[in-house]
Amino acid sequence: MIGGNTTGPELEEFWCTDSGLTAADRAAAYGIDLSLIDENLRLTPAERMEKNEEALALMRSLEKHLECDAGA
Amino acid sequence: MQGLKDLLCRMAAGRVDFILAGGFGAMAHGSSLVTRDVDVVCRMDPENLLRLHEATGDLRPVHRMTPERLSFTRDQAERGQLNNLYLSTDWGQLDCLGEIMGLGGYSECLARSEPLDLDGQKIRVLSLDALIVAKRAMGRPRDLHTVLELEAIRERLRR
Repeated sequence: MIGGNTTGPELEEFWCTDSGLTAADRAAAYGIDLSLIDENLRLTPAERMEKNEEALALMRSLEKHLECDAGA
Repeated sequence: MQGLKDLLCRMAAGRVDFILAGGFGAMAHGSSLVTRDVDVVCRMDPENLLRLHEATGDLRPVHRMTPERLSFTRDQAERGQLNNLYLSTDWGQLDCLGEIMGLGGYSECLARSEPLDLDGQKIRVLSLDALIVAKRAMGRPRDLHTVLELEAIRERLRR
């Protein structure tokens, strides 16, 4: 199945499910760190959401510092 | 600080009919991508929009796509003539969609959703299969990353 034409031709192969590769192999070939997925699967959905909030808070903090640095 | 999970719990407590979708839904299934907003597919009728307004009114919801960031008002909810709502609230960004590409509207999405317990609140989230269909239909580079993660998750869960 092809996912659409908004990604470049170099990415089209990753949309295909008939390459003979497993889904994990296709993800790994794309550069996805599967250990992060395994880590998430050990958590409950609520815990995954809390982890997302923590990551967002860190991103916001970094953005704030970068804005301060740019304005200095 | 309260966040997107709390926003969903607030909506569930307010009996808003919605189904979690998008990147936040993918993350609930195990995707590792961090997301700044929460997408839900909603019944966009006045009754449901009024419940949404009641549930989020004190979180200062504004239409974040308008230059003036106008408030989401009770009048707008009562009129119900909205296809999508792109809100910014004190607890995060909330996108309420009338339909999801590749799946359809609220009823079609409801049939392809599953229950999820969040801090004692029952919500519904698009199933893994439905999220993959929706993300494939969107077809953007970011969606490709999510699709690959979700398909790997589905494979792991079937083992």
